[in-house]
Amino acid sequence: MKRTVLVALGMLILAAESLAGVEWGLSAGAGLFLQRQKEVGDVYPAAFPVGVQVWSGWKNVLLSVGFEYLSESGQAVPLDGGGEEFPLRLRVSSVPITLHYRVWLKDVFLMLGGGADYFQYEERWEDLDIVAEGKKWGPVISFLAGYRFSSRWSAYGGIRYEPMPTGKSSLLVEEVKLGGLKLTAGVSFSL
Amino acid sequence: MKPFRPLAILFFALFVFSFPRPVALVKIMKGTPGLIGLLKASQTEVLQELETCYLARADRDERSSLRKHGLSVSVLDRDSRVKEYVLVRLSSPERMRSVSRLGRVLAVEGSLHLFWTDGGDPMAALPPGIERKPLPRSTILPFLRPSAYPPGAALRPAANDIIASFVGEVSQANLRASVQSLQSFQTRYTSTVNCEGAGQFILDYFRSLGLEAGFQPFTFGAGTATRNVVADSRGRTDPDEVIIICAHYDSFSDMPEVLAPGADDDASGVAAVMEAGRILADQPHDFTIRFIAFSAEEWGLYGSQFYSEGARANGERIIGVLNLDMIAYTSDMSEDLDIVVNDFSRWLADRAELVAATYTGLPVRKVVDASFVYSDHSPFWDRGYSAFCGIEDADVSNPYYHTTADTVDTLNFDFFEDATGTALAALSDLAQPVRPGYPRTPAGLAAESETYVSVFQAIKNVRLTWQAVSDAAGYNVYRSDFSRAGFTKINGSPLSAGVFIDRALPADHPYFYVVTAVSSAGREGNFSREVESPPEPTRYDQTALGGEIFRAIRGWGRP
Repeated sequence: MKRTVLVALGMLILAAESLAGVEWGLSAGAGLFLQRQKEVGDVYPAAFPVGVQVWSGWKNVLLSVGFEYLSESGQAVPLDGGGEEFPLRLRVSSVPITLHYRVWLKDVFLMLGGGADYFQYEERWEDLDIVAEGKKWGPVISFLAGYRFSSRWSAYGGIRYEPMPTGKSSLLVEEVKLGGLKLTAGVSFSL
Repeated sequence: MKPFRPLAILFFALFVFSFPRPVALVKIMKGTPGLIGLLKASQTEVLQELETCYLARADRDERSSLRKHGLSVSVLDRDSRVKEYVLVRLSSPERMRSVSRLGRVLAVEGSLHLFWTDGGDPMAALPPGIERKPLPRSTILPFLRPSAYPPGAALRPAANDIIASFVGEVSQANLRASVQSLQSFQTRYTSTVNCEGAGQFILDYFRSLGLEAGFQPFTFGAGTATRNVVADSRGRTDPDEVIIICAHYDSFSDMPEVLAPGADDDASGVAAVMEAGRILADQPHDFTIRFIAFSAEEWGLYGSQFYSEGARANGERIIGVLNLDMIAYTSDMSEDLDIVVNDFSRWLADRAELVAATYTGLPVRKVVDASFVYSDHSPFWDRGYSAFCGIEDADVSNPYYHTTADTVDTLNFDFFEDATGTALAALSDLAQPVRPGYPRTPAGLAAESETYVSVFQAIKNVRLTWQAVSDAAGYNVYRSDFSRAGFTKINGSPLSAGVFIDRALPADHPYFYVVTAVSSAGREGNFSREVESPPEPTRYDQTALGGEIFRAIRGWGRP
């Protein structure tokens, strides 16, 4: 995963420098899943992913590459009334690569984008030696709105659809999707 | 006319599609991994398991679906609706020709053929004396289970003096007297008065031993009435657990209504069952021993069919069925006893082989052949019970077979005694004699399963409970991945109470358990009855559990 991030960052910087008049920047934010598979939510009730992005823009088009991380604690669900507790830990790290189209309305901007998300997950039964893990690509669609409150700083918020389909089934659900519709907010800094 | 044309086409199409689709009788070859799971998933109407294939009913769509899963499916009869089929063994061209004149005959596997008629009852059309088995009318799919039993996993029975003493009690004189008595009925061909008289003789014998005995009446064919004879020696620990030893008391010959002595076929088997009853009637065992003499075997296994259907419907817990059919004729002294089993019952043959080596020294030849369907063990296979057929030769070698010359003077009583001793030892070994000086066997072992799921995986806790034993200082719990064999102890020091939780097991894997009681002197008693952890947990039903606040937030816009 680290290697993937470094390669992506390098490519972005090279691409940005090779273009005249490009702007580039950094942003950081956090999120909250508004809608997810209900079964996943039953096991992991609270999900607050955090992330950083490097972005580069040319005119109204921006390309962003990010790194996001989610660590959730949960409990195994008893199917037939059992009373024992089995704590779980889900860790998901992802590298979303998104192409945005940006529109300015004075200091307010709107961005619509889409791309792909390479994610890696690990679910661990904390008291037992049981681990499930995998890596997969998934789609990303995002809609952001922001406000530029200085020449370099802006704040943004929006929603992102990032289903993270794992292609795996379990007793809980036919196909496990770790993601969903996510509310995001953060700040951005133009270099 | 033109406006009516589309309507006419529509009606024509409806007319054509309203015809019921033909359901073919098909042969599905074995060899595909996970085949039973595939058949269960597709709800295939399986009627018969054979050694290399299954016989099933399937329409065109079902056949296509099975083929898409890589199964080899061939059609035996294009339209199987309202037809009945009989499996027949046609080992000679003459017999083949004679049966071909009576209906349709199709080779299925080796000498095994399928016989049916375009109208009427194929069983009635077949001449008597041909080994036959009607295909079950209802599916056997619910009872099919893959055998996870690996070779050589049979429990090696520790030599038990009690069982050895039972074997020592087998009497050639008694065996001879019983065969002679049965032969003296002249014929025991089902439908004759003599056959019913033989049934009464067997019942009276069992009752004289103090066994709980009775008739099980039934009718077959065109309303012929007859009776199985059933006798019980009730188990002391778990009487609902049953081991059956059985044979058929009806006989056949080339003049069956008048003379069919049937000494080897199958007075020998019945005599062995009677001798086992005599020796074990007063001997306490953990589990119930059931002695059965079936009727109408020669007509098409009707007695055992009737019994096994009822047993499955009533949820009888039958550990194993030891069917003895022709166990007293040998062509030479180096004869062995063939134990024929299907794949699911291999453990039973291995157990019999070990028992024979321990107690009688009789060589046993294990024959795994699900196509050996012509005796009373076969209906038990169809209902998912473990069963074997003990027979002197799976390929019949008795020249007097089904003739009026099948008499007591043609039998080898040394072999007969050893075969009876082997069956008796296997019976007692499975039923477990109560041993003085050892703690009693824990009764009422039960297993409950609690399944816990995460997003990706599921585990289960298996909670075992059993009744306390007064003379026990502790208990041991044993677990196996397969039924009836391969148990290993999973607790450390002996447990003090009748409860144990086996934690965090893979939820989709079945496990089998037994427990034992241990005395203060460290003597370990018999295995309890076996229980299985529920193998397939229910899928998550999306009941609301936790995370109410976040679910409320997430709820909006949810499709």
